[in-house]
Amino acid sequence: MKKRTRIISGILAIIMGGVIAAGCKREEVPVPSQTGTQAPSGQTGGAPAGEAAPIPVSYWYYHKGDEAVIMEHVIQRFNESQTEYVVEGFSVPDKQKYLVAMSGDESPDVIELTNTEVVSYQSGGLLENLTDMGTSRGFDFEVFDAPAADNNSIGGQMYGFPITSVIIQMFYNKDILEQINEAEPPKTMEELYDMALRATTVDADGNIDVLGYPLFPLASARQELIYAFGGTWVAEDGVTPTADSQGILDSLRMNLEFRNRYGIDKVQKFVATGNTNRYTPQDIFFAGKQLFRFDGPWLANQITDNNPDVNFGVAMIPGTEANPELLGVSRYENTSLGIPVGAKEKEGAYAFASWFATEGVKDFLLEIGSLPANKTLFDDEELMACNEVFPSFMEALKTGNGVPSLKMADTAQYTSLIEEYLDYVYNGTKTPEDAMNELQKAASQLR
Amino acid sequence: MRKKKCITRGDINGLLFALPWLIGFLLLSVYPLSMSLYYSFTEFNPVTDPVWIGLENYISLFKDPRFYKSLQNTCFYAFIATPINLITALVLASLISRHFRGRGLVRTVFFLPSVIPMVAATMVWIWMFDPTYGFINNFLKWFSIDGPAWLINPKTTKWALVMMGMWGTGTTMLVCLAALQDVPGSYYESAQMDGANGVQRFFFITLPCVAHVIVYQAILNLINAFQYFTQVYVITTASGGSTSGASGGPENSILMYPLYLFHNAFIYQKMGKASAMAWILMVIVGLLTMVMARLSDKAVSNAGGE
Repeated sequence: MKKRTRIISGILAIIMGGVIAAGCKREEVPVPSQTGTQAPSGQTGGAPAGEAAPIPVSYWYYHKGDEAVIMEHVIQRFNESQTEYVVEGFSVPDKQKYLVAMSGDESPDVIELTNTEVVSYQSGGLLENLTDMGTSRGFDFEVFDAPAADNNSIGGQMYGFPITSVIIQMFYNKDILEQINEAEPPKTMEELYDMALRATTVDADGNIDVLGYPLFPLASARQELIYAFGGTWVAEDGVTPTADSQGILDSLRMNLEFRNRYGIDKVQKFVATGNTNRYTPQDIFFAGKQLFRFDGPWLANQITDNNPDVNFGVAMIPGTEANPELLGVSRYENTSLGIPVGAKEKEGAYAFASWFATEGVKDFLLEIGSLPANKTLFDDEELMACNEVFPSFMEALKTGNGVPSLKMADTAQYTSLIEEYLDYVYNGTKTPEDAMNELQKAASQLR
Repeated sequence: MRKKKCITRGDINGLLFALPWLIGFLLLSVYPLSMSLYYSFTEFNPVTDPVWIGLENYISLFKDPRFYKSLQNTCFYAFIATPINLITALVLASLISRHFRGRGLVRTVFFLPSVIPMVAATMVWIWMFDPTYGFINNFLKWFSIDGPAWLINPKTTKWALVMMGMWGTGTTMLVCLAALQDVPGSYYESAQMDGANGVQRFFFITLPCVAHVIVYQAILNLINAFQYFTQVYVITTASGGSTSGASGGPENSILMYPLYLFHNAFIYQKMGKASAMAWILMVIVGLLTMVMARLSDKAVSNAGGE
């Protein structure tokens, strides 16, 4: 009996030891969810005799589904364009995996990231300096639109190659505009406000039926509606908070005037419905209940999918009478490509990223339907034709009025504070002056 | 006299048999707990090594208005929703413990919400709370009540959560039902013979007999309330209004403690501060459990239990 117990105990101990050893063993190759192509045939199966085998370059991107297939087309085109490297694409939508891989020793060679991630990752020293890499190889950085270059730079050094841009412009309902006897969209914010008042209608209980002023989407009210008055959340250095600037206060006063006129509760109710039903057939713009909508070019596709009968037009977001030069102002965001410091094949990574951001980007944009960050494509006819609203958006890009993203180390905290203090203003809990002064004070504690 | 061995072969065998659990406990419980305590005294994010900063995280938390706001929101939910849910569960259990046709179906209907995934249920509730098309405001309209913007008005957001909580009391209801069925029928018969009416029977027989179960459920629900996360996370992210990814609802009115902890860890990348929050939460929940356990003993002895 004792002998049997000893044997069982021994076996258990060995198994446990094995399990622990297996658990501690380092994985040689991380295999995240992989989609689409591996290297094209003829490149992975060994090079022909006398030729060196292409060097593998790993590329992680966060697109999935149909968009991952588009990304794989780009990879395929790059692999076919040369014989030195073979890029292997991995669809990795989970952002935490990037951080874990990059801060460990299993970093991919190239990653897709947003411009805010460029700042965030580089604050931890995780990205290669692309200005240094590109300058020594004769890369022309002038191809990038100025706000895009700014978004991907820290201290004048670029850490990401921007491939797409995101801006917001003004959609308007032509039928509602006609009902208030206007043939053209507004040229200034003051004109917009006047049209908004005339277009807003309420029912017998005071509930809003048609909203004139572009208070929804909330993110646009927080950004474009502020920028149009010359307000910005940070100074030009991208890091000094300017929450109590005159432009912000002017914008909030007009915003609050509209809310008070129709009742804060009534406006909030309408905005809440807009929020819940965004991009559904009940979307307030698709349902003909919104005159002006500040949104991205994707709204045109959403209209086609949900209610193609909406009679809409697109124009650039106007500035104020005092700041007419702000026409086309908008937030400016990018998706970019970065090379992690821990990349094992940096030459190949640079070859792919620089090719993608220049030669390979047009076909990608045509397939995925995004705006370019490469200014040589701003007049590209094929690109203009791929979305009916692109010509207006390209015009807006050309104005150079894109507002680059914040670059504070505590950007997420500052943005969250902005959201909180704007709520106080929107709900009438605090006056714009008090709220913005308090916000400025709170933001000054951030890094 | 021969000295007795301190560790016998039996002890070693026992330890070997317990080894799988011991290793799991040490690696998956003790180690992460100790590390989180250590991290709470450091400043670090996922891309940099921790730097020892002493009590800085705790001090900054005690100066942080959002810390108090999240604690206040969580306490509101814990101390308002918990009793409401318990009363709802007890009333429902009392109703469905009676014999009537279709009792099984009614029990299933009331229990059903408890088996629906929380994320899916919350998404449905977001639609129900829609001020224009939502079921709740349209229902209120029948009584000529102009319903509010439940999830965008800071005065109503927490009450919306309380309503959602009431809907999901199925498990508590089931426990109460089991306790009610354990109350001996002879008690009721005697009381009836003494002329006690229904209300008296409930307060003088039913309630004391199930008091220990209610207190036990109260402890569990209170602890769960301090870990209230999924619903508010879904509401604040699905509303689509936030660009920071760290929304706590309008005016942070539904910024619950675990949600703020999550924001610190994964949005602001302040793992040290998040660890400090986790330890403060552990102390709060520990203290609450102690108090509730004492109350539980008192309730049981008052009810004549053991």
